[in-house]
Amino acid sequence: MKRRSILLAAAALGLAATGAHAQGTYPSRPITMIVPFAAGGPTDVVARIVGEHMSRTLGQQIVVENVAGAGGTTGITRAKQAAPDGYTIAMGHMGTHGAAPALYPNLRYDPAKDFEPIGLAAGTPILIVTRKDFPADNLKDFIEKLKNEGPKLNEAHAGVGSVSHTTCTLLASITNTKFTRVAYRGTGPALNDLVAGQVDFGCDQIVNLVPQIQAGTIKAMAIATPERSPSLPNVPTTKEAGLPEYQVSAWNAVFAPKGTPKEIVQKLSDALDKALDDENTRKRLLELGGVIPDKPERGGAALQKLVESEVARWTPVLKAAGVTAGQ
Amino acid sequence: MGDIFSNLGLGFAVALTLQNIALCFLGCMVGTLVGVLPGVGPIATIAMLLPITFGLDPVGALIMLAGIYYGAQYGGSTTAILVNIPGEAASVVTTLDGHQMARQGRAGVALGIAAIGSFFAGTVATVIIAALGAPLTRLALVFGPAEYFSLMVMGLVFAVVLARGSILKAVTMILIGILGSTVGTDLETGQERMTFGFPFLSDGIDFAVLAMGLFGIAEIMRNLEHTETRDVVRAAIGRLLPSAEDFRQAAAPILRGTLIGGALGILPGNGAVLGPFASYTVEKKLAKDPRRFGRGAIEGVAGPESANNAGAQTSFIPLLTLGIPPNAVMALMVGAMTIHGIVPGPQVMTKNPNLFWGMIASMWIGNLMLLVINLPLIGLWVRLLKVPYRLMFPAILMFCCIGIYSINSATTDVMAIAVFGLVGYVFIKFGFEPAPLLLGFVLGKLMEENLRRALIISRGDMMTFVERPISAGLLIVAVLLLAVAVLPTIRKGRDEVFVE
Amino acid sequence: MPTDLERSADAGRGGLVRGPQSLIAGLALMALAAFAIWATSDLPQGTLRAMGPAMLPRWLAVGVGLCGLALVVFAFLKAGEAVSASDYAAVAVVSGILVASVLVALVLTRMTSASFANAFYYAFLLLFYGGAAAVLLLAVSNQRWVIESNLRGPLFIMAGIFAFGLTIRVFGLVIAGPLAMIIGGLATPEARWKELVIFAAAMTAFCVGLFRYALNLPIPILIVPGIIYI
Repeated sequence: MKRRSILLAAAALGLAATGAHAQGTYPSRPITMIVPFAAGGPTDVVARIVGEHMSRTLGQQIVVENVAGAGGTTGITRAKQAAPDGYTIAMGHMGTHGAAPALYPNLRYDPAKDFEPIGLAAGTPILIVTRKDFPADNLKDFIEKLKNEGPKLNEAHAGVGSVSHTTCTLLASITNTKFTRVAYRGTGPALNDLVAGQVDFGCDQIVNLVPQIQAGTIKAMAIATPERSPSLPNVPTTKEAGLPEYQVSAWNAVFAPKGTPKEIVQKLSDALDKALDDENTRKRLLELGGVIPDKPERGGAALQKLVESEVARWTPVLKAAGVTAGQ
Repeated sequence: MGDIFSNLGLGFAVALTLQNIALCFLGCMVGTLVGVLPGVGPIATIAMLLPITFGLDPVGALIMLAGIYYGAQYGGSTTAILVNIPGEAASVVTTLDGHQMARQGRAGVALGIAAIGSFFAGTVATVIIAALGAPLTRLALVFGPAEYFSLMVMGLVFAVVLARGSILKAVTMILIGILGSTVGTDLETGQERMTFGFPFLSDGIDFAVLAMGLFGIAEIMRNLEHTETRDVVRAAIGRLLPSAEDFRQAAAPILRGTLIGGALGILPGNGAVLGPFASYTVEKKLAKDPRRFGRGAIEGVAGPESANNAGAQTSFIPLLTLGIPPNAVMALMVGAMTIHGIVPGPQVMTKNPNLFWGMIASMWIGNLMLLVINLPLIGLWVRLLKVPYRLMFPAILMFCCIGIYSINSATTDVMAIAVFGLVGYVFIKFGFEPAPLLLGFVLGKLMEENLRRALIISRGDMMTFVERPISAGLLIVAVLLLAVAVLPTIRKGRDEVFVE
Repeated sequence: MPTDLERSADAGRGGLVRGPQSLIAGLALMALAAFAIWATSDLPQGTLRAMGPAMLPRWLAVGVGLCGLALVVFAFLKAGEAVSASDYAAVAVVSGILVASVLVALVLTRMTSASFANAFYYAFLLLFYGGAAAVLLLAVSNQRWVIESNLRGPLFIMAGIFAFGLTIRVFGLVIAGPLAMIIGGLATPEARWKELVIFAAAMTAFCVGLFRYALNLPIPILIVPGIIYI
């Protein structure tokens, strides 16, 4: 009995020693990156690609933990409550750090105040797409149709608060139109019914749409970025097509809880910067149709500005449309 | 026809490299080990194991993932048979007769027939995908919201037939199940329903949590009462592998299950989930003595397990040919593909023939691996049942906790299995079966969503369900099935209908 | 608890209520239905063209209520199963604890600045574990009614699971695993301390090796705040 307790004590001491040693330099143990969506989704994919390279720079594994729920706000709430020691960071996105304050009246965090911004990771352009036999071939005709027979047209989206839902809400607001909205559980089923022609149009992230557009199973009206995407060189931008106000992207960015030491935030920010300069990481992000932020868009300060401007943009649009989730 | 062979030849050339065989084997192995965790179904297993495929080349990674998928599925059936915890909707059916067989000392036979049935179904389904994948794709596109709603109504009728005892109680359970599926944020309006302000309810009740509570935990609570009978049952372990007589009984159900499951798997939006239920219903209706079902009938394991595996396989068709994931597992596969730089779409077949045919070939190899890994493991699993129950149930308890925690890292999920466990225990005590509730829960969600979608698209016109021929056909089948299920019992007198 | 023989003897009895089991089940279902209707009462029902969030749940609740009513009616018409204390004791106790914790939480939120959710959470856990401990003591001292009401099994299984949930994020698997197994293991009177502790330690070591090191799952292993984090 006595010998056993001595052994135990020795083991505990040994562990304590490694722990104490760990206090020295950051990072001394694996870092958890909370992804507020299910594994395999667009945000998860970006987190894993970027995280892999950051792990190499930091010399410690970045472990992705998927905490899905309530449009991503569950995971971000958990990140906010985590110890600000740099060992828990989160991959936020346009929804969790832009639209969420308007969508969730009981939101338990403030995107602009409760986090130390680390940096923008990638942007994903938004496309307006229609079923393949839709009687319009360009954005101008499409909007004309929306204005004339809006309520007769069915728009498919991936659930209230999803990127496809909020970005089409923005479209309705900018073009001052109304259409019938049909909710699906996720982008897959929505896309299925668009390909099958059960619904008329939708707005969504480029990732899943490229192969369908290339195969001609759906039609792209426009891409909501300043420049055309290399994966879809034939699709005009909203600027070219006559709707320049419609500029929107589903961005992903890394955040740490408020109070994380400055030098740790800097270290993470530098690691992210390095990942975004890496040839292979860039290639993988570009293959997904992602837009990699240029130097001035990177880093904490730029991200802080982006978050503030996104919250300011989405709040009136969503409030005016009367869209809320979770009350 | 010659095309198929040259294509499959290409596929096998890709899949049969030493590295890919090893990956397939490893995937099946790891998938089985994690999938055997109570409550951890294929979706959770793939999500957890996704990161281990990152370092591989795309073809190897996808082959390994496919291996994980089959492994996880079979692992889930193992848990359903041994400890009565279904990891996914499809294995709810397996618990009905599979666990009864295990209680009678026939766990090895149940596991064996499940593995062999799955292998057969997998082989047939692989050939179907290779030969008919492209033309069958169109089927996925004619199923709109209205057709889907009718399909789900038909599925709920299966749930009535599934029930062993009183039909009134089964209907009650189905209604409670659908009611439970409406908890959470409303998809159309974003309003919260019956969440009472609890954040952990805002995404609804998780299937794994509900199933683990109602089946696994409740089963432990119930077992603790019957001290005398419990260990006697466990001591008596019969043969490990099915006998010739077992094969004779199971052959036809395996064949029928494969066809039913394979056909339903092609549909978008998780049609595969109906396969096992449909197969069970068919077997029960065809049986000479339907009362054996629910009491350890081997047909009740062989048919649904084959249907399950065939459906799991054919649900790759919409993904591979359309690039659209029909269910959550396939959505995860899309994620895995995109991580490896392949975005699935209608042209995968022509653009990446290596990948496409390699994956199809690896499906068959994966099924073979399953057989190779699992037949020897049966002895081990069955021996585990010999552990005295006073030690066995705390271990199951811990595995349940770890399994449910690892899915979403949520402690509320862990707490919830205790609560649902108590609820399930009371259900059993009062003679209500949990299986129809779970089926109602799974189909209810799909049913409501598609009903509302169909009515929005038809602008509120109910006739849409009757005017569309496929939808009307499904509804007619549902009505006929219900009549077949209810009429005989009513004729026998009210005693049978309302009292067990 | 009564054996099957006793039950069937009970079942044939006369009296006004001929199927006590259906009566209780029916009443409980009607209560559930009423609860669901109340819970959705603040939501719009909508029209067929644009169904509101409350439409389906409300009609389902009505359906459940009707099924409950049918069971109640049959309880008077047809002879059915009897009910014994062990059928409902566990649920009654847990519901009692739930109601008590809601009351305590309401009082606490009036008196202090504590939030309702937190107060409820702590009150429930205290009462629950207090109750479980009391049941264990009574069962060990061979109180007949405790053994007959069969409270020990369900309560300790729940207590073990709760313990895991409470400790996994705070202390890690090395603490939570054995805790769940040992507390849960006490659910049966056959439990043997020494054997249970050794088995729990071995199973936990196995799980740590398998899930954390072989499969690399993000499950915390051991946390001592500020010192150890594995």
